[in-house]
Amino acid sequence: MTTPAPRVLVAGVGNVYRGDDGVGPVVAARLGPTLPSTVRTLEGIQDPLLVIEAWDGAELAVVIDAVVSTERPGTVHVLEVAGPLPAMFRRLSSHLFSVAQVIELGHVLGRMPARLVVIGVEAADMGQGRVGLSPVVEAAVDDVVARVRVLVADHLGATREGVGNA
Amino acid sequence: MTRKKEIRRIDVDYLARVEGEGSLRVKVVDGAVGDVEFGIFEPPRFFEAFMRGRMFTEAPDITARICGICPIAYQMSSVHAMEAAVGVTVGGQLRALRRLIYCGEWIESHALHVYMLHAPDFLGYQSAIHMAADHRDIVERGLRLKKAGNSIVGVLGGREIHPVNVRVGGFYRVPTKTELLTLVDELEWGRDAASATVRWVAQLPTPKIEMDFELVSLSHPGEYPFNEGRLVSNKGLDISAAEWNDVFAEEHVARSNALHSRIKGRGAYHVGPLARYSLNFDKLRPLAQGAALEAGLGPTCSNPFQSIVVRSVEILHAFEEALAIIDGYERPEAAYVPVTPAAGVGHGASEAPRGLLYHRYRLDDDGRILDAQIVPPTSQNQLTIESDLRAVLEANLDLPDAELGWRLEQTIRNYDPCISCATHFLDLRIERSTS
Repeated sequence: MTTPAPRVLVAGVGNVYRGDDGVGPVVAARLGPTLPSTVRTLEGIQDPLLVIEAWDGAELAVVIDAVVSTERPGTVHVLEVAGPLPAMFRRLSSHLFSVAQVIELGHVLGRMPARLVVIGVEAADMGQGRVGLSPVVEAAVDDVVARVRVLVADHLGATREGVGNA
Repeated sequence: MTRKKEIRRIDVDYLARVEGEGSLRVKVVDGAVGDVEFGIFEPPRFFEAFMRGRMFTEAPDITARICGICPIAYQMSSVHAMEAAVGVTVGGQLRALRRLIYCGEWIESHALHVYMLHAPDFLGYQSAIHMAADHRDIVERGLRLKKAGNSIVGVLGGREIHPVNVRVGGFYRVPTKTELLTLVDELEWGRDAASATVRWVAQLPTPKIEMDFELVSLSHPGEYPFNEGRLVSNKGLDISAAEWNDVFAEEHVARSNALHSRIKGRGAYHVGPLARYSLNFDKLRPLAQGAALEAGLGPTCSNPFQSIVVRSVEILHAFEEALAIIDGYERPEAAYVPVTPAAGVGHGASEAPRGLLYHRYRLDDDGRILDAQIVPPTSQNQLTIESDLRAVLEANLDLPDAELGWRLEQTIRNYDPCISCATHFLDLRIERSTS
């Protein structure tokens, strides 16, 4: 059974039972109902290899994941991906094949979306069995939601498909 | 005598291609192997506490989140335990559908490990990404096999990620025959690709070793085990899941939050594909059994390096099984057997891709969970993994640290330890001291 390729994919990578690792799924869940039907939203990807299948043929893919670097928790990084990701995405992932590795594999196999944007949110606490985001990461969610909405709206703008404000 | 101490230490910040988070500490004193500590961090322990006070019907969806690779295994062990607690039996086509969704999970998990994590070790590549540059068709085949498994989970589970359609008593909705038939073309491709996979991995160079494992798996009189059967071993074990705590003991290990399982009075044991295969060879579907023999396997296998072949045989079996289930499927009138809350204790053991997964729950009159016990495959294999690591160390102490570290990583990958839902770090330290 084959799912038709979406024009736009929004994928939230992470586990909602690992504290701030759930920021990707939280953002994707909040966006999902507000986005047009040409946008496919995946909420809780713990196996990032799934996104290689999901973004096949997509014009735009936006991947949201938690990261840890030396930046302040809650900091939002937005990267237009043309090659390998910087170290902060490579170092930490709660997933067996990290987003950075999946992107490398996608490049090697020639299976990349036409445009890929990765949004990383600096995590404060990825404690196991913890449900809910830490306050500082929760405070960044609205910003990330708005950024994704703008990315999608700009992309779909040419075809005048609306993006809701819910 | 003056004591001169020299310590060499190498740190590897994570173990490539093993899910999750863990640490390996090795001490070598005067050329002899001292402590070997393979530490992992186990999410199920947190979930045991998290489950208390929840309704028995919530267990499948909550425990499915423990592992992003094995949500079906957690759902299956939890529904069987709950059904045992409230006195419900699920049979017929609902039982067949449970086996079908498990086929999907085995295929996706095994394809991931065989192609993306394990094969690069045998071919001398640092990772599947490096392997893909030279063997694009092989890696694409692995990804397509994995996707075929995902498709089964998607159709039956409601969605591929966090399947939500499994409930105590059966499913929220059962598929139509037509919906299942949409899978057949890809599953037939998968069956052929799985045969090719067995032939491919059979020619990979593997050391010829045999380990003296006590192999433990489910065993069912009529089928290769997924959901049901008695717990048996090659050393005489034969019990029901309800007797689990009479035979197995979990010990807290100070260096991590993990509990190590052992058989009381005997010690370490091994669960997973090698155990299932060795204890159930005669129940494999015909193509899988034939492919195993053609690949040079006997009716038993206790060589961890050949686990890649056994996993591939199980992928083939799962495709055959899935096609047979779909062929015989008739949509049942009811999607589930009604369940009524009742006080009681229920035990469930099923075969996750990595091996036995045991759940036990105690419920009150309202069906609220009073306490929970979840024993994942990796904690059962931990003592065995440490023992194998020690043997590899003793045989290779003359290697430089970097090479020795890599050899140890490969040893761990032979066991496909599941430490998922944890961060992807493994801190590897080899400490050598001389006096």
